[in-house]
Amino acid sequence: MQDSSLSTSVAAIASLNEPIPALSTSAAEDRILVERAQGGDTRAFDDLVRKYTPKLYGLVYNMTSNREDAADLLQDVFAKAYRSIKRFMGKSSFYTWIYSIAVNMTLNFLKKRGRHHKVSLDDVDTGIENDPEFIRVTTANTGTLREVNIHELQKKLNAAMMKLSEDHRTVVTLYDVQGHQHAEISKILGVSEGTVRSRLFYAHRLLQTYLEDFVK
Amino acid sequence: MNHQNPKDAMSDFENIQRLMRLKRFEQPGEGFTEQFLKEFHQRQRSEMLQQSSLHLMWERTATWWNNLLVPKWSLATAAAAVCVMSVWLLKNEKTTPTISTVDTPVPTIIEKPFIPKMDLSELPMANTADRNNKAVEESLLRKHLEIRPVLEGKIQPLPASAEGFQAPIPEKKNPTAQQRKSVEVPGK
Repeated sequence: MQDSSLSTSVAAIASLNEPIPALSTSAAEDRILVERAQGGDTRAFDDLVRKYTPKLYGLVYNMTSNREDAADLLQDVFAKAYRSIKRFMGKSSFYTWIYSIAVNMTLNFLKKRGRHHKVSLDDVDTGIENDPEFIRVTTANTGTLREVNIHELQKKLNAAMMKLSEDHRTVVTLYDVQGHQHAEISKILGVSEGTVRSRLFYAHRLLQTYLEDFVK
Repeated sequence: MNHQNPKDAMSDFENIQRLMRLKRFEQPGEGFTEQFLKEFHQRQRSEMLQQSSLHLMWERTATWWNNLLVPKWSLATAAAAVCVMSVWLLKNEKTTPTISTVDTPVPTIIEKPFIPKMDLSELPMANTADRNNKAVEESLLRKHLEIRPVLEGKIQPLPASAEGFQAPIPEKKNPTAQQRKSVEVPGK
């Protein structure tokens, strides 16, 4: 389904140049919470869960394209973090550490699930259509709400993401979707910044092909 | 999508980035985090229950082990002794020659002349040298004893002009003319 309105989607969101809000990774605050959690304060760990659940959910959801899988995986991620919080020495920041756990567990999950998984309509997050921020951004230039078939766009984006290899999908999620810097991504993935940039470049080239109709 | 112009490629890349940024709006609903936390607590509790049964078993095992009343030091000493013994045995095993299965050539036996082992001093020829030496020693001793009493009473100091003895002669220098005169006229 190639709506003429779909091709105008990029124009509609051209105003999306505003920087992605910086991650509230206040390392000092995290350190205090981690120390308290290491001392047996479960409330401190709850605060860490509250703080990182939305971000990590975004990461896992965009890598799996499935809400249930994302929620289950996130439970596993925090359970593992809780079990090994006492072994966390603080050599890296807590958010790098927890992101590393999340990425590794998600990659393992995807390997087990195999590459035969297809994105279904059920996997599409229907709540996005009602997101006020999303509406504001997509109607900024045109002033019309439904010029872009949002549901179709979202479906195409997810399909394009799932066509990428797991490594490429991870860097696209971390960089384009979540707004991490190259250096942060290299720390999370344990690879060089050059590798991150290279993966990002090839991922963008592939996405250009997959989303040709939207990018024109 | 092969662009001749790099600017076009860059703009396409930026468009891709903008498109992908849209996915950041795919967030769970407001109540998701609290519900998630509740589920997490439930999971933690069930894990703790599972862990506690395992922990209980571990504790019982540890208590039973402690009840054996085996002093820790004796255990440590025994372990150390076992270690030392095993090291010693290993060393000995290394030093003992191993039987090689490789076919080695049979060494050729060189026949040496038979030399009987016996005490040469028992031979009559060997004793002759000793006997001769002893005879010489005895004769020398006898002569010494014979000469000594003779010498004890008769030895006298030899005169200065004795044969075979010469007193040291001072070195004569050529006298000067004055010395010569004094020699010539000793009465003065």
